[in-house]
Amino acid sequence: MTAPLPTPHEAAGLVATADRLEAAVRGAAGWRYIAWLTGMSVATLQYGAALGVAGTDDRSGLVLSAAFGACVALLSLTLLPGARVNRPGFGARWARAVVTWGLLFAAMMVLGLLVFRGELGFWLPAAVLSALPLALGARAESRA
Amino acid sequence: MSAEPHPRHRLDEVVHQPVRFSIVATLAASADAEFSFVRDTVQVSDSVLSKQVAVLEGAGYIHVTKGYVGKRPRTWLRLTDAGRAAFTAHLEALRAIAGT
Repeated sequence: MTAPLPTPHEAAGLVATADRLEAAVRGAAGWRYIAWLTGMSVATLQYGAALGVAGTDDRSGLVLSAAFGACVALLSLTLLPGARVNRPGFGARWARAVVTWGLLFAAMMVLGLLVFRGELGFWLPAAVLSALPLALGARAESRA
Repeated sequence: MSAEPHPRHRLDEVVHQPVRFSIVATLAASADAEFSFVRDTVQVSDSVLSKQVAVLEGAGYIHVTKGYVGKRPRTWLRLTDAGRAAFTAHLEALRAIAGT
């Protein structure tokens, strides 16, 4: 080692610097994804519940679907492109939340529209279940 | 009698330089980070960061990815496994020297 060796005081200062930088990364990372996951969770819950309330009214269903699509687009376009840093393990946490949501959401839509159309007793719990992976993903990201 | 080796032997020459230490510490807390984020966090100029990134990349400690977000060019930095191991060992050595 050719560089001067740190004194105990300098070494403590470097450790403190590393801790400060980790805190800076923790503060900067994740909030965009947490906001997206939370927003998508709320939008999913409202969309599913609203489809249940709309019953068999096709026109209401179309309006609700357009509004849901607009929410997804707005959240995705405003929040996802600007992230500058990600915490370790982010990719796995993100994939787990989004893939699970995608599967449950697809199941809710297929079963709801083909089998349980207009049955609020199906749509409400299905909406809660579909929204859950995103809410849990937001919580996991906020704790990472 | 075998004495415990002094922690200075575990200090990493590449990581020890102050700016590189801060860069690696920032990346150690990240999965990946954009060039501008590291620049702002470490508080150095683009040219200083580029120079130190080249040293770290040459040592195999960081991986540089260039891409686009929309039409804007972006550079992402990620610590390699070797870089993470070197930083972990370096930090442990510093903690031992500091007596914490």
